[in-house]
Amino acid sequence: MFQSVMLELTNGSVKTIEIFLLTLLGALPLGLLISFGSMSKIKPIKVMVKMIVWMIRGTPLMLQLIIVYYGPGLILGTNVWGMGTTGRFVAVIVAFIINYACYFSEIYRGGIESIPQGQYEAGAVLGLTKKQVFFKVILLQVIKRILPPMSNEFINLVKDTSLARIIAVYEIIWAGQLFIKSDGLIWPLFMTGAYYLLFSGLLTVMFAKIEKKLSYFK
Amino acid sequence: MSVLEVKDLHKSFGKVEVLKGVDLSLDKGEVMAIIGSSGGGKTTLLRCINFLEIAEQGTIRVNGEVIFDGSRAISEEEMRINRLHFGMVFQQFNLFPQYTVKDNITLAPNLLKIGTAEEINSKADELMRKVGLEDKRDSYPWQLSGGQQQRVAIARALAMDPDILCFDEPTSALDPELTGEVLRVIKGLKSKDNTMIVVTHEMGFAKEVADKVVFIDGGRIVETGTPKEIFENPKSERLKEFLASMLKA
Repeated sequence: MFQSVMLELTNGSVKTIEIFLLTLLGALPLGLLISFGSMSKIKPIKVMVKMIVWMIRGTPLMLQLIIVYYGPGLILGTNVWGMGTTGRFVAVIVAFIINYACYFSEIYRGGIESIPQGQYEAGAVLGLTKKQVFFKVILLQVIKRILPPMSNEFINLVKDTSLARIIAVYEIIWAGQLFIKSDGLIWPLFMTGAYYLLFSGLLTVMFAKIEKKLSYFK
Repeated sequence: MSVLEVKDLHKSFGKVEVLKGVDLSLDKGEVMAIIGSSGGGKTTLLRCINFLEIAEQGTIRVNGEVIFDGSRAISEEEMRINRLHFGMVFQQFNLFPQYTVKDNITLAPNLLKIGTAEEINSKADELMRKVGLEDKRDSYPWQLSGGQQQRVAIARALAMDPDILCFDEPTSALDPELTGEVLRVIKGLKSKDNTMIVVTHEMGFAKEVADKVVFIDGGRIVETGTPKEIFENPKSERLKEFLASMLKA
């Protein structure tokens, strides 16, 4: 019994890890783009981006998942996500990326705006291009400052992956809960808790390492 | 021919006109001290010359070439190229915290490919010696005192070989006992090749090092002259009052 539970949970946790990694892959760069939009000097862009961020941050991810999955089919009449498990999984990734990109964008914005103007000016007077100033002078300072809030969001993301089941994407809690119905067992569900703890524990250690690595400057 | 010639420079922030038509000229190897009370436009003038602010009217010439004309729009890239004529040392140093002393100095020359890596490195070594920080080569800014940080900032500006080196109140953020070391470095740079503009509240320094002293008040140049003329024989009432207030302080 123990073996079959562990097998099921491991299957579920693979999905959890997939959602986690793919979301980061999309949301980390998209969030930077959105943060530039929310700091844009072009008013309409700034207003539009801020509206979108407000809507995404102001509504539950669960609602967004349902709308993203069912919306296109019901509004446009075509299921853009494709059939079956793959289609549902793609919809989950898209919804997660949009949601987390908006949260990340605000963290980036806070980080970027906290860098003193003098850093940009010092780069500019040396004749560096705006791109060089951003990537060679500003970015690492921003990364250092946003590590603590980012580590929060990463851990939230681990736990949020459980929402995928709302559109029937199999993940670890679902796997654990099945044993309540089929075998009347509660401990597999506790095991899922252990999985989450292990996952977020690893993230915490990883972030602590990066913070230490960047502690050589102030 | 003047290295720098500024004509009729105007700059406003909103409705407040901070520069109301400023003319300046500076010859190669000259040191110009700009003095005046806060809010008079000294720093804004320096920032307009460095294209950190864009003036609305007037012209700026470097070595006879017009690099700014208020009647024409200027692109981001033109501003960047123009800035290469100038070096700037800020009141707050603005060193890059994640780089060592040596990397602060070599970052821009490396990125802009001013010479080979060897040339850039040996120049950085020479500059660190010049500002007396050769033993701090691998230190990070937070490990340095304010005076040391400012000396690195001076070396960093010099690494780009500017035609004109500008200082914006370089010792105002320093403890009194640290101002001396920075002023000595600036004084040591005085030569026939280094043209410098120093916005300063250090009257003793202006008197001793400057070839030309400019007194700015209310967005205009009120008086220009040799240190002797300005400090020993001020003509305008405003300058007399200003000098008297500096003596009291």
